[in-house]
Amino acid sequence: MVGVAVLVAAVLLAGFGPAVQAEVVSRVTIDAFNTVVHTPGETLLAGFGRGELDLQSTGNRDVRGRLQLRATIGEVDGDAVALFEVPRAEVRWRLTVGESWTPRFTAGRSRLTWGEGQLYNAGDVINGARPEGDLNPEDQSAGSADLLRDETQWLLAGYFPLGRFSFVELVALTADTDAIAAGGRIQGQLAGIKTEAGYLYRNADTSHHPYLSAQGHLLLDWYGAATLEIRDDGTPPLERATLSAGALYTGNHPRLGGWSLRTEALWSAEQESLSLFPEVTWSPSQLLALFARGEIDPGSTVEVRPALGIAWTPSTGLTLTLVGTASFPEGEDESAAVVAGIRYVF
Amino acid sequence: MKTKTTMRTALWIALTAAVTTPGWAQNVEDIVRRLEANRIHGTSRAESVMTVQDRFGSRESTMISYSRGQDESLIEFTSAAERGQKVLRTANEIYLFYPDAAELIRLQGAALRESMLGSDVSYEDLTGGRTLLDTYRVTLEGTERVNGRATWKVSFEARRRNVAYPRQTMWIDQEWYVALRAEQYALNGRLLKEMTADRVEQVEGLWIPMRMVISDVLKRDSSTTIEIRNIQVGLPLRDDLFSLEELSW
Repeated sequence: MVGVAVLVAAVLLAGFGPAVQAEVVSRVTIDAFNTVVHTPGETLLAGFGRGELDLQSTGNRDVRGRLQLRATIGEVDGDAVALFEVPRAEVRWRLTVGESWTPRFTAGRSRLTWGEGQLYNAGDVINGARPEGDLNPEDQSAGSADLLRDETQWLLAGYFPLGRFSFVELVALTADTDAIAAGGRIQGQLAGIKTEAGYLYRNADTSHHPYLSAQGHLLLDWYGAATLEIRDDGTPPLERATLSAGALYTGNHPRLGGWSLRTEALWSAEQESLSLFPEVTWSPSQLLALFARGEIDPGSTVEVRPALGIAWTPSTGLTLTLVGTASFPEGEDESAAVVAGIRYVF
Repeated sequence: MKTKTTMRTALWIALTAAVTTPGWAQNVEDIVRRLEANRIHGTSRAESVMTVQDRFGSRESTMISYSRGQDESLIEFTSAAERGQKVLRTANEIYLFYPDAAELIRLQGAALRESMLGSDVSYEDLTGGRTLLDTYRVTLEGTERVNGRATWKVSFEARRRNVAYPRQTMWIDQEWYVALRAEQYALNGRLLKEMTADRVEQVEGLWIPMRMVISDVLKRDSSTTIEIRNIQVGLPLRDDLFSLEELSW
């Protein structure tokens, strides 16, 4: 499958070759992590490394190609682990119609972010309202929640500007012929509020996913999204509604530095579940950030998953991180992990 | 606000265009008008390096910035760690774009006070819209020499409360009409930020500060240096350059 992905990526990038005449810039990211995971009766030690090569074309104003290759290798208590991924392999093409209207098209494996939200985003009908599975400590090494979501999809997309701050975007997700999905969104501003409405149809379960999202400011930054899942099984759409909401406040103390408070909530009618995501960050220096965040599922079985971390950038491209996470599921075994990481980007 | 303006100048690089007619301004309003006429011009494109330094280390970022007039700017970071991140500023909006997350972030309210890429420059410093004379009452406090150059020392007192810096002082070069030094104060008189321009060059007839050092004085040993490596002014820019489409391209 990986071989096919690389082949497709190569074809995509090569297909525009004669026209592109582009230069290439590269970015290499190397991560090294050491992890200690403790569960009752067992302590695991793991060390692994991750290398990422990101190639991007430049030089052609209207065609862009990007190929991202990622390899992860390591050992978990003596067992070798290896994973090769192609997170991105995309070509984007922009054309000018008339004097200045510039629709553009994207093909390949890429990311689209619909809706509003950092970790919880009910409007993200493409990637899901929440990342699948628990957040790994190494994925939390960023000083803020901005990079917690990085899912990509095989897709075809068209972007059509309607003005400086509004556009229509159409997409077809093409990973699997049995799971084709298609839809669109329109984004603009209504009375100063960034507003988005969209829809996605999924062939796999014949479901329709309309959504609305909004972002504004009233004393603090707020945002939210709501989506319905409509199927032909007679279930009322509201019983499959998903809502997300968030608020962000940032401050800057003259002596103590910058800080931010973020809270997000996600509610699923179908699962009758509510999840909360609070996050506090503090940056005593321009190059040092500490954060505390966590997920809280205050359902019938309460589960709390806190994380504490520090990210330090002592030199250009170099970031050292130390993140501790824990999980306290009600009625199940507790667990904790500490990850020390180093990242160099060049 | 004045320092804000000055920093914006460095960032967008567009700004110090100078109608370099030498001579002495008749009054302080004329001096400030000449300063603004010098820094606001039609269009510009600049390649710059921003170095953030404090007691915990240092970090360098490179960027390309475009500007048109006083209100429109687009910055694209080109250094490896931040490649593709962009900032769009128009008269009433600031948007950020993160390419890996494919996310458009609209900044409003308190978020504008966030540091831009960990520098001593906040997004609030980039906001514009009003001229200095619209925003501040100005007073000529005398003349002083800065780096061996004759300057006017001009103080700025905000006309309204909702400005980033209620009080500022600028030392404006008497020949170039460029602020060689600036201080920004809080409402209670506390010094917040300092700026110095230690290299000024003439480009296409305009005097432009090519190297500026900005310090958030409340943060110990913290400074941000912005150095322009290459700048073009008066070049044609596409009408749609300052739009979400270009921001997310």
